[in-house]
Amino acid sequence: MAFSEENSSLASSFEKGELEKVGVASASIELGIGQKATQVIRNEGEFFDLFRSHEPILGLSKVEGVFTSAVTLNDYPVRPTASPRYEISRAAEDFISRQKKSVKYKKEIFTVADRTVEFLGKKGIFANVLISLFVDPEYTNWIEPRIRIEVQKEALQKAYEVFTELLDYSFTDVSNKTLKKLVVTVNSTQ
Amino acid sequence: MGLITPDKFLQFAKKIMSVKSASEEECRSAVSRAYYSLYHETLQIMISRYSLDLIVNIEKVKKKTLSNSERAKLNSLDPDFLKQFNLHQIIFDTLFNMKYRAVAMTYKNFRIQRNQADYDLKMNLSYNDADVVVKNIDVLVSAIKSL
Repeated sequence: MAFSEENSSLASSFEKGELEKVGVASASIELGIGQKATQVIRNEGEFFDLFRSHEPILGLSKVEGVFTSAVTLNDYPVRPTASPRYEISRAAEDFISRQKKSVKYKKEIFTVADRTVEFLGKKGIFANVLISLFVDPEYTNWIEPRIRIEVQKEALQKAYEVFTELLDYSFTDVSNKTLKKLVVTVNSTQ
Repeated sequence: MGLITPDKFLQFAKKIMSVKSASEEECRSAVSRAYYSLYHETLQIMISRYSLDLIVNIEKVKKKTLSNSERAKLNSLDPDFLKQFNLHQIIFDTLFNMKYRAVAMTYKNFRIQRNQADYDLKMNLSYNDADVVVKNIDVLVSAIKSL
């Protein structure tokens, strides 16, 4: 029987102990009545990728580090390492890690990037978000990490219109020290 | 020859963008002129209305103790004395420390756009990109004038 959206459902099953100990799980995909295809997931990253979907699906919920049960409506566990919401360039990462109190600094920059992605999503603006390093060609002491928002040309005006709102949202409770050393830019993609 | 004012730069940028078929070099020039209009407008407003804030932020950058002569030049915001500082950044710092954070960040964003327009030749700057930047700089200039 051919696969069709109408008669398909995605279910998952795993042995709790097995997943926790060796990071291997299996997901069963029912392809119509009586037909099952089992996919073995070799690592957690692939596992999360499998469940990344905009359609309501079955996934796994995670409470305090323990996988518990199957749930619905995209309530799948998301980890920054498994599903990055933004990219970071090597130069920016090196620069940030060399700063004093780099742990807080880095955490706050990532928080701003996360909120930026979240805000753009809420506004329906499709964007690529990248943490990169800004170096002013005229003032070599002006080197700062920046969060680059790249939008489609037609979304550029809309992105600018919500830019102030975006900054207010993204910078909430972020320390002044981090804010002064961080810039958010909006550009259109090529 | 008359004294040029910051708004002339913005008018020139708008004039360039009034031609839909503007070439990329014209678009890049428009972004650059518009930013410098913003820069000079903001600096003039800082000097006329917020000179104390500006002086405090310049002092923060000048790490060593100022001589009496330097102090006098700083307090009078002597244009020649100010040339040694990165005023683009000091304007940002001053706006930021005055709690106009969104304005400061937006200002800084346009500084970067201007750098890209003048230095990043690999970037493809379209008419639409430049037009949006010029229009938004116009909005920001109005906002800064009302601070």
